[in-house]
Amino acid sequence: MMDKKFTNGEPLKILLVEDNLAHAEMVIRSFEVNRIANEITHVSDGEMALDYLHRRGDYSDGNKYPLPHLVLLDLRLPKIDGLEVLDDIKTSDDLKSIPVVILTTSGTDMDVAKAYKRHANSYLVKPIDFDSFTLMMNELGYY
Amino acid sequence: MNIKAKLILTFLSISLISIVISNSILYFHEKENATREILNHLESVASIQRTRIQGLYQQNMERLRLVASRTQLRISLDKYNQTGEILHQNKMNRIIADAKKSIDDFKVILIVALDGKVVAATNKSRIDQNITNTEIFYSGKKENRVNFFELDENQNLMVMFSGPLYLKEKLLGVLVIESSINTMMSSIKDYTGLGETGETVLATRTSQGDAVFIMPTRFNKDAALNLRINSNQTNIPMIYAVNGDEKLFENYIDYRDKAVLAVTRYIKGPEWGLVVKIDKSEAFSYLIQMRNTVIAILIIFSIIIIIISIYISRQITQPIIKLTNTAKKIIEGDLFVRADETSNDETGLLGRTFNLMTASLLSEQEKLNKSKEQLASSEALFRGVLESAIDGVLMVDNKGIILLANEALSNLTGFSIDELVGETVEKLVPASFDTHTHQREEYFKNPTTRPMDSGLNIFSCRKDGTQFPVEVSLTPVVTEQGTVVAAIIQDVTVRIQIEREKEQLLKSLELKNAELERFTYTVSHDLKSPLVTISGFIGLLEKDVAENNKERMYSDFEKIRDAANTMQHLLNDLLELSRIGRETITRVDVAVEDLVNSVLKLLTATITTTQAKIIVESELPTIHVEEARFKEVYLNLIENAIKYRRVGVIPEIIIGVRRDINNSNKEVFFVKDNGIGIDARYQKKIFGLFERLSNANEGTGVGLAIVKRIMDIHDGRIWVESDGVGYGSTFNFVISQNDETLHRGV
Repeated sequence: MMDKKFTNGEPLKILLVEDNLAHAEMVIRSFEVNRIANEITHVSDGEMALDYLHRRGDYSDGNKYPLPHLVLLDLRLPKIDGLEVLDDIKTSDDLKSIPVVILTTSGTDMDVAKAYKRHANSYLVKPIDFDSFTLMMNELGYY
Repeated sequence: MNIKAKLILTFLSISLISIVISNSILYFHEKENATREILNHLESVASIQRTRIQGLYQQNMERLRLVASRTQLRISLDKYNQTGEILHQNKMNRIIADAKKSIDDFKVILIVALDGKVVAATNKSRIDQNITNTEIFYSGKKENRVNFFELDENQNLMVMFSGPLYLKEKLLGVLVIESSINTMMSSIKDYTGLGETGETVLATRTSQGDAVFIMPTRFNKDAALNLRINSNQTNIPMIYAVNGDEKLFENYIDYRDKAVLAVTRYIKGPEWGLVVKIDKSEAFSYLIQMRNTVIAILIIFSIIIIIISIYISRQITQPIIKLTNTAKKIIEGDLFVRADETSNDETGLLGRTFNLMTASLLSEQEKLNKSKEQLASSEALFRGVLESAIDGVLMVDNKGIILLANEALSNLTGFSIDELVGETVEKLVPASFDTHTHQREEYFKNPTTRPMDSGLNIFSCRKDGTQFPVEVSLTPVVTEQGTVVAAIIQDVTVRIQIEREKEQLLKSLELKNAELERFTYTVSHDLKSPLVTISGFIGLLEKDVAENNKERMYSDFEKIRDAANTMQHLLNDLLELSRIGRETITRVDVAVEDLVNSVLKLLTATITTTQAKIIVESELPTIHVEEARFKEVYLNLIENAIKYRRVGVIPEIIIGVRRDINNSNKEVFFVKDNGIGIDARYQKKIFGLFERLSNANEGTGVGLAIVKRIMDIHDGRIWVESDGVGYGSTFNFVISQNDETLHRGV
């Protein structure tokens, strides 16, 4: 379970990996609507996500791009697939402690199973409603 | 020498030798006895003859003395000698005539005066004959002798006596008497007891010691005085006889050249020799007869023995000969002949035994034939199996020498069977497999039925040096020559190829499956995606409506409309894609240039807007494809080339064809741009369904998937070359222009 002290009163830093701009807006807005204190960074493909997490290329500046407390990961991504990104995170010593929540269009999706196998921490079914998000946060120990 | 001859010889020698020996002993004994007996007989005859002849001699001497003793005669002679008067002569004549008359044998009586002159004679013609120089006169002056033999005028043998005539011790003359020898002759000629050839011969001794026959012999009338035997012929009995030697002669050849038995006697007074002899042939005639009889008996006996022995030997050898002939027939292969077994003796037993043997031979032969047939059929079966076998079969002994190979192996390897048999099996093993010899030796230590080096890829080599993959199974076969190994060699080239193809097929199936899975997955996701957007923004819209945030409300509506549009495009594209998969293609000849120009016409607006520079190379070929699909291909590629242009760079697109570097016969079609380029990592991914490298541009992510599908069904291939982001891209494709219609749709 994630240590609650981890946030330490700071806003929760979330990395949203979502290629569909509409979907990304949906996620961001649902967080706003529910007044969840957070700081969301959005990247639109797998390559960008890994560059961010590994502080490569455009994201090499650690202060500007701090490691998130949580990764919201869509599976269908251009260039590098969501599962690959998940794999990378969970096999990287620096990153594997970061909880990864899968964004999916269906709760019964076989992707969910695949994701759990790769140590995904939880999943959210799009479009995300507040209740399911709260529940997920509880599961992760943030509330 | 055959048995028959041996038997005959044996019988003959056994029976005849004893007979001959016993008869010989008998014969010689008998001969000795006979010789002695005959000699005894001859001796007795000789003694009698001697006595007789001596008697006759004495008688004649007496007669001579009697005549000489006549006193008147001597007186008359004396007177005549003194006076010579006829009167005295007449007186003498008268006296001697009387004397002659009294004895028949006397033929002539002579009175010889001392001067040798005949003074009186019984035969008047003899008077005055002078016999001075005769031996008879000479001897007659000294003593009385009867020892003078002469032939008279009629060639009759006469004996002459002579003796002196004395008167008062005064020699007056000689008395000579000529007498016939008839009396002596009759004595000599008495052959009583002497058979047909026996005789008595009489000879007188001359002063030289020679013997002169004085009587005719039985076989030679002229022998008397003519037959003379020299004294040095000491082997002649008569020489002994006249010299006073009385002997027995068992074996001597007489004057007739005949073998005789003889006995000698000496007659003292007249010094005569007497020989009594008999021819051996006669003396031993009965012996010879006996001998001949014996010989005849022997011959008859021999003949009988020969006949008997022939019979017996035939009795003995006949069955053997028959058996031999039977055996010969059996040797010639006739096992159904039978020996004669009727006889009760050993030959019958032999026959029975032989027949038993033949019978057992026959049954053995039958067994042998049967097993031969079985062997032949199993051999034929074996050959059949061997020769009809698709796989190569060979047999190898523990030294690795190939003992046997079949046609299939010959076909597999290109070596003839003769080139393989007798060689080591390594001839078929590639030189690179240098441990084979060692492994073979190891195998022979513990031969079991197993595949050779299971799991390894084994190769065999052909005569031309090429290699081919094989599977070898080994089976030990125990034979009289020791353990050999039968190896079945299977050419697995085709199987490996099939397996490879199967693997490829499986892989492609797996790929297809994965593709299908991804397809359904992506389709479900990407189709759901706009729906999620719609439903999500409807929820947000509700809140915006409640908050009366008009700006956001418009934005929400726009998102919802875009999502609906996206949905529309997606469905259209998917429909298109699935159609390509389903439909068969109809190829026509179409000029690429025309194709490109018609596409460019469709894109006129875009080209104008973007100021894109389109270069269509000249001399583009005509291709044999489905026209509409290739229009789609060029449309997608050119559209993409424009769409993914670099910001601030006027797009420049070259459409052309080049020769393949690897295969100059192959034409590579290309669409080259100066756009954003594609990272090497994503150059394959872009042909996947719904794959996009960026969400910055519009697009469903189906276009290149459609292009790839079109390539697939034309048995073509498409790939992209790019030196990376910022360096532009070249889409290349090759197609097969065969009429074979490929339908690889999902």
